[in-house]
Amino acid sequence: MNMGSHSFRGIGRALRALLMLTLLIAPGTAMASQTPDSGGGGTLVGAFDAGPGGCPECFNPLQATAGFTWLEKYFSKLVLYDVDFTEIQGDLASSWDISDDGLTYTFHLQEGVTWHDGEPFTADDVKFTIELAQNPDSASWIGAKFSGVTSVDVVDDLTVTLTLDAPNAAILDALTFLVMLPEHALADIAPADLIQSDWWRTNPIGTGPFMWSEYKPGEYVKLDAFQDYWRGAPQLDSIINRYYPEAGSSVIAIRSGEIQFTYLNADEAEAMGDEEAITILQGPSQVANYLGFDLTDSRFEDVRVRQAFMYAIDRASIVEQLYAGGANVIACSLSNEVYVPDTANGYDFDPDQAKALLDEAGWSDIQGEPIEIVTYYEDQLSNDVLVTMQQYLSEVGIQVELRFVDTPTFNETMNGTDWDIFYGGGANGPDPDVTRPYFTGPPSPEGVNRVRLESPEMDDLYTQGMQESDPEARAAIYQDICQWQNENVPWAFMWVANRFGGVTNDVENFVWTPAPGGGRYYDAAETWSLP
Amino acid sequence: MGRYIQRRLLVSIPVLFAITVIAFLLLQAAPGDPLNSYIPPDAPLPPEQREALRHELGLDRPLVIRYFYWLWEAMQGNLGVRAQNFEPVSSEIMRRLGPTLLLMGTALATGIALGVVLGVVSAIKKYSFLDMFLTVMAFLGVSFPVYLAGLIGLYVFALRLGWLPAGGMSSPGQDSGLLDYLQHLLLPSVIISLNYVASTMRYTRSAMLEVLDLDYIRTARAKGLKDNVIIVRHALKNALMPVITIIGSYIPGLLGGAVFIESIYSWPGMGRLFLDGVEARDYPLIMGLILILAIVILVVNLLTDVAYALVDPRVRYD
Repeated sequence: MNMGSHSFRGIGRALRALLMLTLLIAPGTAMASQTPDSGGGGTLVGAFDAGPGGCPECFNPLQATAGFTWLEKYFSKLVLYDVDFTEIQGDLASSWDISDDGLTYTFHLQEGVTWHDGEPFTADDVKFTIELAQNPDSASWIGAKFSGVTSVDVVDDLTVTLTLDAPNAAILDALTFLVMLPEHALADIAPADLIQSDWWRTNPIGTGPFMWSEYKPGEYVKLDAFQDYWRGAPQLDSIINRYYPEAGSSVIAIRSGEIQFTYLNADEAEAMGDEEAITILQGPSQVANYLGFDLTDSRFEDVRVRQAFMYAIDRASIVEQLYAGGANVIACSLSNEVYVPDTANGYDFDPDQAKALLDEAGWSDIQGEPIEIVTYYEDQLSNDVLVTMQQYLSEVGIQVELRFVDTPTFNETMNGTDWDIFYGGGANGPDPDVTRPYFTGPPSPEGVNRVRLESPEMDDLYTQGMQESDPEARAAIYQDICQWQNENVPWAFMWVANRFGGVTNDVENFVWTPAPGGGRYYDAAETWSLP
Repeated sequence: MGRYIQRRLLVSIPVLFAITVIAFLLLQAAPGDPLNSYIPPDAPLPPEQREALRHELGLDRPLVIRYFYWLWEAMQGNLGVRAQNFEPVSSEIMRRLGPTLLLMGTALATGIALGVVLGVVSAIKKYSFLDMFLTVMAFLGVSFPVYLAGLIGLYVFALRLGWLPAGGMSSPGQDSGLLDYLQHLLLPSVIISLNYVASTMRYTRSAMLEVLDLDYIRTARAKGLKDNVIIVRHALKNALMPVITIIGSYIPGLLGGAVFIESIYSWPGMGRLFLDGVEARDYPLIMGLILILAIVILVVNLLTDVAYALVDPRVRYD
């Protein structure tokens, strides 16, 4: 039945009016709120915890394995790398001396450094921090790096010595992980309670260029400039770290001008090439991708089989096609040229050589069931890479299946030997000693020697490398390590990929490089400025 | 009625208990060491430290003890702490409640209001061009994937047109006024409401059509009552019964939040909390959320049934 339309024209009209009203108001007010603070120092907004180097809302620096880029905005360390990760320079420590036997490190602390609450930074804080990290109650994996430090002694307010039980050239690198914490604020909290303490996210006190200001859980953290920062008051008024659970959202945010910095993956960086207002930053990821063999599996016992994997896969093409050139092939687990000898085998793509080696080893009798490559990488690029590898391997007679799992499942799988090969990424810098736990020591869960390599030569060389402080002698030792790995292929070494970031052009003096876990390099945040 | 409510509440208790037991067992069955949620597994800790932490967190106790310990604490209102950052679970949930209710409430209210209105219009002008158009829109609204709509919305309105902010609940760092909140709320709530508008409209339309054909409507018309009086006072009231059912089924989703939209729009809601918890294998968080959600669903189901009795005098419980 027809109720007539006259009564309801009103509704249509009302709807139309509402729509027009929204469309009129929205653009005007949207513009107003998007204009960044002008006048004075300004506020830099960035997605600092986007990407693999970030750890959103991880505020405990003793336990964090990533997110250091942001932590270093309000905490500082004794020493840091330069942005190219070639040398270690002082931050809170202005200089240091190493005794001839390599067992004593004396640090001279920077004068005039104060905590955000005004207390002076002294050697007591250094002693407190290192001992706190070493304390098993604080469950700090960073503290485990200082297990060789037998004592920390305060000589005077600005001088502190570390005594080691054996020479350890990587101790300075270890210090680039450890933020200095205030003794006067934390000494009263039992280390076991510190893990659960909300001090870290309500009122942390550091010595960095910015200080804690505001935290909206799930949304952002805001830091204000610390006027008494020892390198000088920061140019910016404040800096904000916004959280974006969806990677694509931070990309849209930077393109729409709402934020000034974010991490970009390879595809996004490429798509961003046309954006005039954004500068792309690029750097090595310091993560070596590789295929790890289960060395307890008899099928992979023969080194010729493992070498065949290296010859069978056209790594150069994969870098060219899939990484668009944004990666570098590696000959061993170390990518820094200083540690790679000229005698290392490049393993150029040679399927015939691969087949020959496999024939010699009698592969067709050994293979048995298809080999399973398991990985925790979930991104499209890794998927494409593995499928390509599968193709290359099948062409030389190695049948391979792929299995993609999530990280907890992967870790549980690694605790046993119920796997054949895994595709993973391992840290390979900046200090070469970081590769040691992959090739020596226990397998998961106590360690990360997942391939279960047992090699007295590796153990020996790595120990030597750890104890040698003279840079040249040290480099020679690591070249030997690289040569051994290159010949014996405990991993099928692939490449080190680049990672990317984007920053809007209005930010001046901005410094950023991708690093696993972020941070650990001096980025001069106090000089960053907006017009 | 009172006895009915009492009985329902009593039955809820063993149901909740069973839900938590099942959730706990399922979580334990998942692969992975629960300790790994607290300590990132790629940071190798010496075994003594790992075991010390395990003991401190109570993860070395037998399963049954751990469950009852959790249950005992939960009954006192302590849902434990998040494995990721040791934030108390209950305060985290409380904090996310506001934004979730804001977002979902707005979406639901918009969806229902628009849906009912459009459904009534559609029913009255059955088979007109407007009706056909709205029907097609409804199908689109129901079948279009919400994450795609969310991404498109973000891309079009935040980037291309620049009319609305690209996510978040407010502009950080400055004192946010009501307008700022509204701007941030507009896009995600509209995207979520699309689904509600579509399904509510369809249900309202078919309920109205059924009612409009009934005898008492003819009688009212014959009596000479004006059209809009008939629609609103007689037809709509009776057509609302099935619509209330539908709305009741939306409510639990209200609290669960919209996982996709909250992720895309960086909205600090419960949906994202759930997702974060699951991704990080954050057992205390997941258990806490399941408990809260189960309670809400049970209560809402009860309320819906009670609402039936109030709206329709034919429905009686004893």
